[in-house]
Amino acid sequence: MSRREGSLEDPQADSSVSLLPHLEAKIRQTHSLAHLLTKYAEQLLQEYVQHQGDPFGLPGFSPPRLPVAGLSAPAPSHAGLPLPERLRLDAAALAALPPLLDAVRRRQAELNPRAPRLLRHLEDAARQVRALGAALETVLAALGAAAHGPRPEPPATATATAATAAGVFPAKVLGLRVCGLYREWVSRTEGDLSQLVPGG
Amino acid sequence: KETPYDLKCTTNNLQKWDCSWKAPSGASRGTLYEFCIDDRSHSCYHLARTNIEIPALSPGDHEITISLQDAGSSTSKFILNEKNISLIPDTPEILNLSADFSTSTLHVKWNDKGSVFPRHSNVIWEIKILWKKSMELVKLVTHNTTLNGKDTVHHWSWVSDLPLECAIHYVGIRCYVDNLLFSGHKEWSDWSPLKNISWTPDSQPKVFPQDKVILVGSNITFCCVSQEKVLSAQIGSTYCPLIHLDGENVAIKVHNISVSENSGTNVVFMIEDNVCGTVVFAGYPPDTPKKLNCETHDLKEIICSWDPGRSTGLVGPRNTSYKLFEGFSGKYVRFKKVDVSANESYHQLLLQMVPNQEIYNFTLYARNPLGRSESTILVNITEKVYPYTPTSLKVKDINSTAVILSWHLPGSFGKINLLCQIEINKINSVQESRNVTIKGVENSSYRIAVGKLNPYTVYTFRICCSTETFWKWSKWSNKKQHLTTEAIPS
Repeated sequence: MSRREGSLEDPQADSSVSLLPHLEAKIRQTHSLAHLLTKYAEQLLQEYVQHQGDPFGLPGFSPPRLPVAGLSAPAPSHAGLPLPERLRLDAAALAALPPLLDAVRRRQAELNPRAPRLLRHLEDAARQVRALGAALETVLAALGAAAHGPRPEPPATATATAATAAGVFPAKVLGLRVCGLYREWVSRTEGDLSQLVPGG
Repeated sequence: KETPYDLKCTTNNLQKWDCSWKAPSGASRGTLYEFCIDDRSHSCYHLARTNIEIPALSPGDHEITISLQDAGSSTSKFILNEKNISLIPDTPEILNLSADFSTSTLHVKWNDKGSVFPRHSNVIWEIKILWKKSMELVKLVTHNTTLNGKDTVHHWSWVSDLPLECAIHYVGIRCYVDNLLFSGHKEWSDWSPLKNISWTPDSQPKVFPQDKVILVGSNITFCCVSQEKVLSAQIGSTYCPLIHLDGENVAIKVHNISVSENSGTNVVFMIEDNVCGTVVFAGYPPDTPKKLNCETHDLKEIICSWDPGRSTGLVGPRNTSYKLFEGFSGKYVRFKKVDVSANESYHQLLLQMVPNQEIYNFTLYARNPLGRSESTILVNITEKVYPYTPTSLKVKDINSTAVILSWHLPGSFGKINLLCQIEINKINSVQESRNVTIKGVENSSYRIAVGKLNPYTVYTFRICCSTETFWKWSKWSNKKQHLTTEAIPS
C-alpha cells in the first residue's frame, strides 16, 4: 500500500472518496475493531470501578477529570474538524494510551492482585488499542493523511511514572480517568471511521 | 517600713540560694546593704542591691542580719531555714523538636542539666502538646527521670491521633525536682518556650494519612489540608461529620474501622468541583501459622507447608511474607505469597536438605505491616518421607510362578529401608497385598521378586512405598498387567 490510493486531503476530490477495494476492506476492518473496542472499553470502565471500592461508582461521586500528560479528552470542537485532522488526533490519542493502561494495570496488580480478570482486561486493552492505533495509521497513510514526521514519544509515560509514585487514592482516580479516556477515544475513533466506511 | 523586710529565698539547684528582700521606705536606689549570716564564719556581704546569691546553708535555723550602711539602726534580723526555701528548678529548654510525618510522631529532645544538682534527684517532667493556632491542649503527660550529677539528654516521642500535617503542633516542657533530702518547698519550674511543628501545604488539597495500614477496629483521624472550603467527607459510602481545624483544614474521626477491601477503604473529601482522598488499609496481623509440617519426597528437598490461618485482609505489597529459618544450619528461605493462588489456606516452601543433617529445627516467621508471628517444628526428616509415586513399573518372568517387579522411585534413600506394598490382582479372585522391606538406594531403581504365582495366569500388579519409619504412603503406581508363563510339563 505504498502508493496513495485515494486522498482525503485533495480539495478537488469528490467528497465521496472512491476507495480501492482492499483499502475499503482495511477501513471496514479498522472500524469494526474500533466498534468492538468501544464495547470492551465500556465493560473495562465498569469493571475497574467495581474494584476500587465505595464511593467509586456511587451516584454523586465524580472525581475531577484530572489532566493526563500527553492525552486530553476529545475537544468539543473535535466533531467540527476536517476528517483527516480528526483521524490524526484519534491516532495520536490511541498511541498515548498503551503506556497509561500499562501503568494502571501495574498499580491495580498491587491493589487488586486477586482480580485476574480486571488485570487481564487492562492488559488486553493496552494491546488492542495499540493494534487499533496501528491500523488507523495504516489507513491514514493509505489516504495520504498521515501525520507528518515521527510521532513524538508520548509524554504519557511521565504520567504513567507519576501514577506509580502517587498515593493510592490519586492512582485510583487516575486509573479511572485513563479508562474513561480510553473509552472516549475509542468511541470517537469509531465515529470518525464510520464516516469513511462506504454507506457508513 | 523603716528596715529591710520580706526576705525570701529560693533555689534552683540546691547549691545556691537566691535571696531577696524589700527595701525600707525612703531607701534610694544606690543604698548600700550589709547582709550577714550568723554561721561559723559569720560571713557578711556588702552590696548595693536587694538580692543576693549565697551558698546553700546547712539544715537548721540561721540568723540573717540585713542592715543599711550609713543609716544607723536600720537593721532587720531574719531566721532562715531550708524549710522556708522554695526549690524552683530553672526553666528547661527543648533542644530539638522533630517530626516523623509518616507516622505522625513528634520527637522531643531536652537536656536535664543534671550537672548543676549536687545529688541524685528524681525529676518529673511534664510535657504539654497543643495544636491549632488557638493552642488547644491535646496532651499533658509526665515523664520521670533521675538526675545523676551530669547533663543528660532525654528523648520522648508521642504519636499524634491527628496527622501532623493537619495542624500546627506546639510542645512545652517543665520540671519538678523531687529531691527527698530537701526539706523546703518544691515547685514546678516555668514552662519552657514552646517549640512548634507545622507542615507547609502546597496548592493542591491533600488528605492525610496517606495509604496507612491499621488494625481492624482502630479509631483513626483523617484530615484534609485545603485552601478551599471542604463541603463533605465520607469513608467508603458513609458520610462523616467535619471537625474544623485551622483555615479550611478539616478532619474526620473514624471509630472501630472495619476490614478493608483488597484495594483499601477510600476516604474522600469533597471540595467545590474537586475531590481529594486517601486510602486506608484495615487488616489483621498474620495469624500464627497452623499445621506447620515439613516432609520430603526424596531426602534431597524438604517441603514445609502450613495453613496461614485467618486472612489478614491485606494483599499485594501489604501481604504477609514468610521466612523459614533452620536453626542448626542457619539456612533460610523466603516466601511471598502469590495472591492469585486459589487455595488461600495452603502455603509451601522448599529448602534443600543439608548434607548429613537429619534433625531440622525450623522456625517459620510470618510478617506483615501490622505485626508478626511464628511457628516452630523440630523434625527428623528421615521419619518424614512421603515418597513420590513409583513409576516405570515393569514385570519380568523368573519362571511360571515367580516374576521380578522393577520400578523407579526418585530419592536418596541409601541410608534407610523402604517399606513397599505390592498389590496383586488376579481376575475373578481375591486381591492380595504383600508388604516388603527393601534396602533404599541412591540411584532410585528398585526390583523385587514376587513368587507363589499361578502359571499361565493374568495378574495386575501395582505398588506403593513408604519408609520403615512410616510417615506416609506414596500414591499407587500405575497398574501393570502380566501373564505368567506356562508351567513346564513335569
